[in-house]
Amino acid sequence: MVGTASDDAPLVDDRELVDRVKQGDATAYDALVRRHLARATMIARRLLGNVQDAEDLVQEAFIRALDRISTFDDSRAFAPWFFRLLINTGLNARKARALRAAEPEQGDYPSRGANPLELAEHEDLRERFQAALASLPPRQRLVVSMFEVDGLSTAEIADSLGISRETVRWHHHQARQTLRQALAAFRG
Amino acid sequence: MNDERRVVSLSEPERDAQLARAIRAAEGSPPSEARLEMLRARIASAAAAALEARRERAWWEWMTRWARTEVALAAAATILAAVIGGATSIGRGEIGADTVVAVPNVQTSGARLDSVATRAFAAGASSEQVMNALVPPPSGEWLLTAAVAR
Repeated sequence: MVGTASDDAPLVDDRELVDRVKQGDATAYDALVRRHLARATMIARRLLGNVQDAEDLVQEAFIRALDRISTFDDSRAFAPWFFRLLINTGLNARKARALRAAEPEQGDYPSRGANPLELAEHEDLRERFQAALASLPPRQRLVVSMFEVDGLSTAEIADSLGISRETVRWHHHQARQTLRQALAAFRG
Repeated sequence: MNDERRVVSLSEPERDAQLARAIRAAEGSPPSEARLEMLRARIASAAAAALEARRERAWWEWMTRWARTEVALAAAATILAAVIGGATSIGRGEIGADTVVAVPNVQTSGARLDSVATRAFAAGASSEQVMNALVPPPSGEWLLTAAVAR
């Protein structure tokens, strides 16, 4: 099973896995990939808005991490280092290539039993909110999602993005204002 | 904006459950286990060559490190063997049970010294003359003094 970065008590520390990866241990590399894959994929989707591009980005980031693992500072945590690498690669990819048209994603659709009016309202809300979310600058979108959905602290987000906590809080504040306005407009 | 930023940065923001639900709904469901498993296999396959290269490099680094230590140890062992072997062959070749070792006869030399001093005193030489004869003074002035005195 593919785990998540938030696994509470991993049997083997990331640091030990990184040490073994430096020696070319494929099992340790696989364990490291499993541990961070789910979160990496979500972050990549937020950055690129397309499942296929997001998966390509995640693969590229893991391969780059392997190439640069010798330069990784053992005294620091692996996850923020890796996510910073992923995010920077993603931001560059956004600029460099034309993205594929966004695929329809399986969302939090209402049940089939909902009446047509509820269905239309729900769909309208989702589309409006999606548009508001998509209109956010990439860093703001990442910050608000990592904080609200992934449950990371501002310090952890700051470490992953390579920016200060104050800047993270500022991005979060701005993003939340925009998104709350989108929700309020629909309700009003 | 700076004032607002300062106010914003004072404390950790509260989490907004409603906003979290809306973002989750807009982002779509997280990738399925099957999709993640396929991606993991793709990554493992793409990384195989790099990991293999890393394993080989690690082995060579290990070998080089040990080779250096082994060469140093071998050199030290060779030198030690040569020293021990040489000493043993000297002992075997030159020292036997019937070997006579020449040791300076300090007692004989002392006796000779005594007889010279006794004869000088018997001939009426002063103690200074005897001392000068036995222990030469630092300069040759004593020789000139002695000649003038005669």
